[in-house]
Amino acid sequence: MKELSLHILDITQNSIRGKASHITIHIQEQLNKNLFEFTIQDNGSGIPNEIFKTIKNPFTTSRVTRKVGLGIPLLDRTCENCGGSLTLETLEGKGTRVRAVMVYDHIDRPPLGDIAATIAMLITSYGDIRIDYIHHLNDLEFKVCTNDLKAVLGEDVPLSDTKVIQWLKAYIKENIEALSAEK
Amino acid sequence: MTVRELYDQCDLTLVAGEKGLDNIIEHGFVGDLLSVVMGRAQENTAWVTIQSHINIVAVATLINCACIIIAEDYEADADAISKANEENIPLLVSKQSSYEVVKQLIHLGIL
Repeated sequence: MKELSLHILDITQNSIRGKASHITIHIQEQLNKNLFEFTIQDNGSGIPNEIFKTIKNPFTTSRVTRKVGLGIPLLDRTCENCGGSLTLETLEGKGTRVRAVMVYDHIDRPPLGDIAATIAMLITSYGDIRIDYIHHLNDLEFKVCTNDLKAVLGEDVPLSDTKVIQWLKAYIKENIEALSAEK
Repeated sequence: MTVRELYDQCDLTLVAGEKGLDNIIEHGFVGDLLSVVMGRAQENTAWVTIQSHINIVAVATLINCACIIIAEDYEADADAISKANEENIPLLVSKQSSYEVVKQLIHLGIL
């Protein structure tokens, strides 16, 4: 995947398939430590032990339509190639936490990509799931979550309204850019 | 042409997947970013890459690849070799660059 936002989308879709009702996506651009990190934590069904043991092997998958799954294996290689690592923790029935760490300025590190569109799409497409998005640039923080949006929009405007999607995308983009401007 | 014919005519080392040597090659593809290969490569492709991890075998099974040619003399990982043997996907290693390998494929008529 050319952009990390595609990996984030892919891992989050695993959480959704795992029946999570609350997903937290946390991006940490730690320029002071030269690290790029993201974690995706959910309260879904967790990964069964026999799958978890070989989760980084592409021939392990929860899919039934085909025998290989490359989401985790590709991300694992990307992290390793970029001087970092991928860590997974899971508890059946409780949830899963995926943590990807890379050297920030590693030449092979993919760019983050269009994270605003990714998050806006996730939040507005899965209104029944609480999605928290937290973005740190060193100590500066930007947060947005499904529940806050719902509170602002009220009962009358659905999250899936095209105007909401467009607005949210622009809002996230502006706020992330503002972090970089402030640093 | 078959993978065997390619193997006989080029300076390649077969490290796995001997049972797939009669696979037919119809196309060629070069790529090291596996998601792009997954999305773009056609079936029955001779795929040239510098990646040598087990993930390439997974991608090859998805796209029904004819064979994988690892360029730059990179050594295939042990689990990639065992999986390629299981899946009958020939893994061939070349000492040359991807560019040089592609030149040979074109010379042999894989366009």
